[in-house]
Amino acid sequence: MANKSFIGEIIRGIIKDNPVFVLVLGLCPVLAVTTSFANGFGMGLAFTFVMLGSNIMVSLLRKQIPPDVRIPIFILIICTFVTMVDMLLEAYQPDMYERLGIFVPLIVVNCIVIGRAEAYANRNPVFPSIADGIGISMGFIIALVLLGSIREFLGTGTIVFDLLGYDVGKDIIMRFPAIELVIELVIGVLSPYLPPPATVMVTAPGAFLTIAVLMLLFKIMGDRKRMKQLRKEGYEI
Amino acid sequence: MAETKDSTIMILVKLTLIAAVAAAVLTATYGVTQEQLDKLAEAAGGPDKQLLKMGIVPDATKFKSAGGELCYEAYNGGDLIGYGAMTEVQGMQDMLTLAVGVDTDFVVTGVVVVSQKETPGIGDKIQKDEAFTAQFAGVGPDGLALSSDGGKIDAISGATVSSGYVTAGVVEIIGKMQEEVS
Repeated sequence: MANKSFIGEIIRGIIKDNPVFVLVLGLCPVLAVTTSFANGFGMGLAFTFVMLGSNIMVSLLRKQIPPDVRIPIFILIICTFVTMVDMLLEAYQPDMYERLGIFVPLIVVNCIVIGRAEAYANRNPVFPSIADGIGISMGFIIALVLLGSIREFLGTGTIVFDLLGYDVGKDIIMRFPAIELVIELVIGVLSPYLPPPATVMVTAPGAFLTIAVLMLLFKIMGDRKRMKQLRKEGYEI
Repeated sequence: MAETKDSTIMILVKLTLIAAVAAAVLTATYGVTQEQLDKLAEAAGGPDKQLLKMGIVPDATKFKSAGGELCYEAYNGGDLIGYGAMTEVQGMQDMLTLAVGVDTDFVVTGVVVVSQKETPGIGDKIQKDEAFTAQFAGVGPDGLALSSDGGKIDAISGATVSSGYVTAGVVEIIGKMQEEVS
């Protein structure tokens, strides 16, 4: 594993080992908090902190961790980081803390984090473990943000691009007023043909529908790539 | 993976060490965040200051505890002009925090949805749609019901249930205030 590149490991975490669409892990927070773009993004950041912290610590301690009690130690390390992020969110992002609620403490039992600790960080040096942590986290954030944006747009008809209290969408429009004009024009032309917002998308069934469609797309893309590879190797499909 | 098999004592020592480090890190984080939380609480002020800031009794210059659990007396200078209260009531999904101001005849002067966890994009309009809460001002105890039930409050279309819970919550809070004051 030592000769794998840092970037390569990151990309593997996003595409080939995407925690949500490919490994199908950690679905509980994915389905519950992705009612909007901002919630998904906030959850993704909290997760990234824990994922990176846990991967680094487990990897650093991997020669010291007695195999018999490795799971309790993983949990202890993960718990520490989760409690930290929980306290930090409460103090510095009270709105986000309120919206994410129970799902931040629940990162403790997020199977992605403990899965990476057991399957990767415990067997690899620190550097690749960091890459793995970044890759998996980015894959997770992409999944959350995709789901959040799609559900928010289909369910409410708008998307608020808000990153931790900083409204990116508003900022872009303020700097380039022309963009708003274009968006309004496009929406104005399309609106008679668009269906009204479907409430179901921001409720639990909407989460399942969206993730099913996204997983299907991911699977199709993966299969296409594999078929191409096989054809290149001379198989006839 | 460690190749050497640790003795029970070593395992205990290592577990204790890791737990101690974790405890130390968390203690440090707690100290920092607690400071920040205290600052936040201070900036928000006590309930009387919060009620004043929300302007639920528009002419009030000062709120003072009425001695009860949740009711605060609103003063304009030295004159008692109404009452205000902020508390949790039942919403559709979870508890809502409402602040309600009334004049001395218990006619509503202002309602604010302080926090809510209703369905995003649907029920949460009760907080975002200020025209909805503005309707409460000037409505006496008789009119406090949705217009579909013969009252004076028009529900937000698409958020009828949540609107109903807000209205019921306002009635409930006013009832509690009346009880405490009399």
